[in-house]
Amino acid sequence: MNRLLAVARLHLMVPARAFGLPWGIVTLAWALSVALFASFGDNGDVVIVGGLFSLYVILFLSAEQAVTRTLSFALALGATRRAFYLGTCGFLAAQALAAGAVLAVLRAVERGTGGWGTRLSFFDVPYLVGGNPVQAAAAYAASLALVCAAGLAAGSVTRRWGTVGTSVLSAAAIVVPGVAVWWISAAGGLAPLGNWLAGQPAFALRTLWPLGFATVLAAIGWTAVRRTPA
Amino acid sequence: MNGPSDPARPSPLDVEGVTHRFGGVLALDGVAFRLDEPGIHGLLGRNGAGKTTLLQILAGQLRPGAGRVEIFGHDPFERAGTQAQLCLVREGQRYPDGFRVHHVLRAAALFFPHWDAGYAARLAADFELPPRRAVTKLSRGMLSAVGVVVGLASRAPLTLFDEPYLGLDAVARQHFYDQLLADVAAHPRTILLSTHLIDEIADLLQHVVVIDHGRVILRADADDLRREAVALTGPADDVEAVVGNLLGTGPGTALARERLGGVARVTVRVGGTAPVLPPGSAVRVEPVSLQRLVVHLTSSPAAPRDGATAAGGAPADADAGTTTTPQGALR
Repeated sequence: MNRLLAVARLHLMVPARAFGLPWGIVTLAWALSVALFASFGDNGDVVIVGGLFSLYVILFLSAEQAVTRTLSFALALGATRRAFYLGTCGFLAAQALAAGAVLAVLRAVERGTGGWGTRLSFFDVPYLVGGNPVQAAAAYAASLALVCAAGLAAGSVTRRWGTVGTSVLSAAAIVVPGVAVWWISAAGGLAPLGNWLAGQPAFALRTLWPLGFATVLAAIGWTAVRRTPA
Repeated sequence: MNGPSDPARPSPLDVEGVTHRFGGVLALDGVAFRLDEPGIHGLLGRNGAGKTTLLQILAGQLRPGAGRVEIFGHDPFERAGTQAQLCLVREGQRYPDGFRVHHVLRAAALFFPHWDAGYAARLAADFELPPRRAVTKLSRGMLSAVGVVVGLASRAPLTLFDEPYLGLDAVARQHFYDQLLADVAAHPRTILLSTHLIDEIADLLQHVVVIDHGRVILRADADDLRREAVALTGPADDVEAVVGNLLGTGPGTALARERLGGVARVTVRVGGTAPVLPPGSAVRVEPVSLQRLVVHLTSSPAAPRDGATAAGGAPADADAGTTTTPQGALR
């Protein structure tokens, strides 16, 4: 347990990187959006901007670098791969939960202030989140956990199998869902699938399914990391 | 160093039959040796001899293709208790993004149970490491100094240094050797250091393991190695007569022959036997430095595998080996 905490503290060693970078970028994107849409004037429409996407990109890249850059150092300090991976997963999960809570609060403020006074929908991204603040926090956290797990898996595969592995993984990430959709569609299953999805409760779609995929990706990452050389 | 091991106090380091391939390249071939006593030990060999691969395997950072590795009685790979006893300082270590020197030291403090923060700070000051400097902005020498500080201040019961001095100037290297000697005396532990700069560190070393082309070709006490070979210099005929006598009567091998006009210099591996000179001989007998011995032993394309060397004795099969030197085969 001590070693897992040590790994988590290793990820937090440079707060400017761990917190400053992602939240700095989000703040910048938000401030630009607010300034821009305030200057356009209110035409009565709710404007949805994709600025929050930047947070997801940065957390993906941070999770990837946690493996490609930090693993070698952690092993040099005597962490085992298992301790490193579990500690990193714990850190990323805690980060997703905390960020989810912060985003839910910001979303509540956004809704309470009429979109920051400019009908801007920056944090309240339709489909991604919905419901009450607790449900929104869970949905944010689950989607952030999913991108972190994807970054972890991508970094782990790069660490173990280099560029070839990453290329194969990227290709698989595109081809496998594509083929699956084609196959389901050829079997005439697309409409039933759509109905089934539509019938899923929002909580399952926004929270449980992303968490399930995150778990699968984290497991893929572990199979790559468990025997990787330093 | 080959005495029976005490199960209650397992050896810091005990490897047997360690073999490792990278693709088709045989990097290590049946490496076996053991270090029983605390102290500073040298892992010597040329570039590409397999030193770095071996150290990574010893540290559990790489899993060997075959063989047994025991660090304090346990396989170090993925074993947390053993990893806590270990520190490998390797050349070209990567650090996490955004790390400054003081981050590295604080991170080391999180992981090494015997870490001495005060000592680390003193060492960092001695090596003139700016604590706030980003690791990516450090010169080659400063990066090496960071590794040296981490390795020394870790006080790990088994500390492995892989050529830790790259880019360090002579003054800084001397400071490292001084600190190593003083700190190991004050806090006894086992250090295994791979190096090319053998002469600089020869006086510090207790045991020496020489590897070449992935095989251990020599392992012995450093003191014994100082008597392992002699250089005979003088009139060519006289020298050859002494050499012929040496090779004829005992387990000796001529390692190198140099000749300038009528004067010859022959380096002979005598395995501790002092050469007997005829009375009034013009031949001078000089000791051969560890560095020259290693150079002679490893400058051949395929040096012979050496058997176990007893703690106080000569190589068991030195007489059976055929050493090819740049000057040609001699036996």
